[in-house]
Amino acid sequence: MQRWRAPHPPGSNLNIHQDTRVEILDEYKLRIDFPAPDGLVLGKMRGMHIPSTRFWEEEGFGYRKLGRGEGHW
Amino acid sequence: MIDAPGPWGTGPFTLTEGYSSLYNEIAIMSAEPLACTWLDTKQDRTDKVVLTANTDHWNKERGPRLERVVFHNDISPSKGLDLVCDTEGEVDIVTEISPADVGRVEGSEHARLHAIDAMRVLLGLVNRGVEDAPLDDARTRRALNMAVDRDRMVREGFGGYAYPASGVTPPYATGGLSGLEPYPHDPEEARRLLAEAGWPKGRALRLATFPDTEPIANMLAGDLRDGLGIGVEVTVIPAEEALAAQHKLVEKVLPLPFDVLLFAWIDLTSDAPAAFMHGELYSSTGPFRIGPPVEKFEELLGQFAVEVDAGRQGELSAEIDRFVYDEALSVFLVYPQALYAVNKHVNFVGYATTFELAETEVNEEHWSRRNGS
Repeated sequence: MQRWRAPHPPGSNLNIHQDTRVEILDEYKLRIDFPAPDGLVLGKMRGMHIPSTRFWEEEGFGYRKLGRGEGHW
Repeated sequence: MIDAPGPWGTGPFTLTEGYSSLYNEIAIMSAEPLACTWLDTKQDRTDKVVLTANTDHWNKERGPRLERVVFHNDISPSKGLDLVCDTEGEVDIVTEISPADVGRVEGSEHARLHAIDAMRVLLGLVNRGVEDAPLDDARTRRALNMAVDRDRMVREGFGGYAYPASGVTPPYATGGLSGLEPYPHDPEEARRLLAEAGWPKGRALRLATFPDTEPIANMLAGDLRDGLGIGVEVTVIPAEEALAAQHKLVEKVLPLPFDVLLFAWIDLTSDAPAAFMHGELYSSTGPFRIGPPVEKFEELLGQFAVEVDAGRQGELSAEIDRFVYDEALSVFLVYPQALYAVNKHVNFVGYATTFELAETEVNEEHWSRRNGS
């Protein structure tokens, strides 16, 4: 689910477990499978942006300009 | 945040003109396991950034209630204040009003002041790692807290637009309320505790601040001098040295040249403050921890981080706040309010966390609707 090492500017404390997996159920639903309890996940996902497919393909939080997206909001 | 206009975004608004980007560099506390944070180096924005209502937003009850929002990045804060107070049709909202400018807003024909109880805290980060003064002793840190006249700081430093701090968690947070009272202003007891802890005779306390909080630092220094009977040296970190100072603070490799750093911090949510406030300030992986990790704190934060019951998590967050208060891990000062100058025909709905406009709307008297549009 989290592809970058530390995507959020506040830092790695907002990271989600590397083995977290997402299952897309339908156009509006997904299921997230956490390998261990994470009581802070709602707060962490508060900082997770959900842009359109077009955004990811054309800009992607710094990919076009910097070649990477880490820490670039 | 976003390098080019879309439109894209699935929230109440979508970016349609201009861009607003953050440039950062990484500050690493530990390579394995990775513990790091990002430090801002540049904010690149177009003169105007335009958001347009996303009429497909799923939560129509919430918003958007505005057709367009235009951010004017080419207008200085003082010019913005002039425009919102003295005109209509130019600027509807100015954020981050200084308490010193409140009178200007209150006397305005066009603007109203909105004071929002914000998830913000101003505190002194205590360097528990210094070797020539007993800052690792809770009695010293309690003495620092008891030397502060918070009521005066609220009154004279913030024009009344702040609350005396009683720990890290503001009393209006949604969760994690500890029910604490601020440390009493008790200079006599403060001096007794400082002497008991063995503060070295003639050792001045080194207080550092960034430029924007210098007036408060001077107020705090006065309290500490008067209350504790010791010298206090105030150092202002110049803006051009702030990035280097932040690296030094976060990376924890070089000794820090201060005993207390005046520091403003925030939360991005308000239901479990320990996650982003206490965790960032005191945990072993916290970028702003100064001094060795605190075993009991780590134990509590560990329980909190894996607790999935919201009620129990709130209790643990409160317990964490009580612990850092009892140990006086910081000098807790005030919870500043977020102040906005807003056109009187704008029904502004402020948030405790960030600047949001989803529920904000304008009435029929607003300049944009007077012609019936």
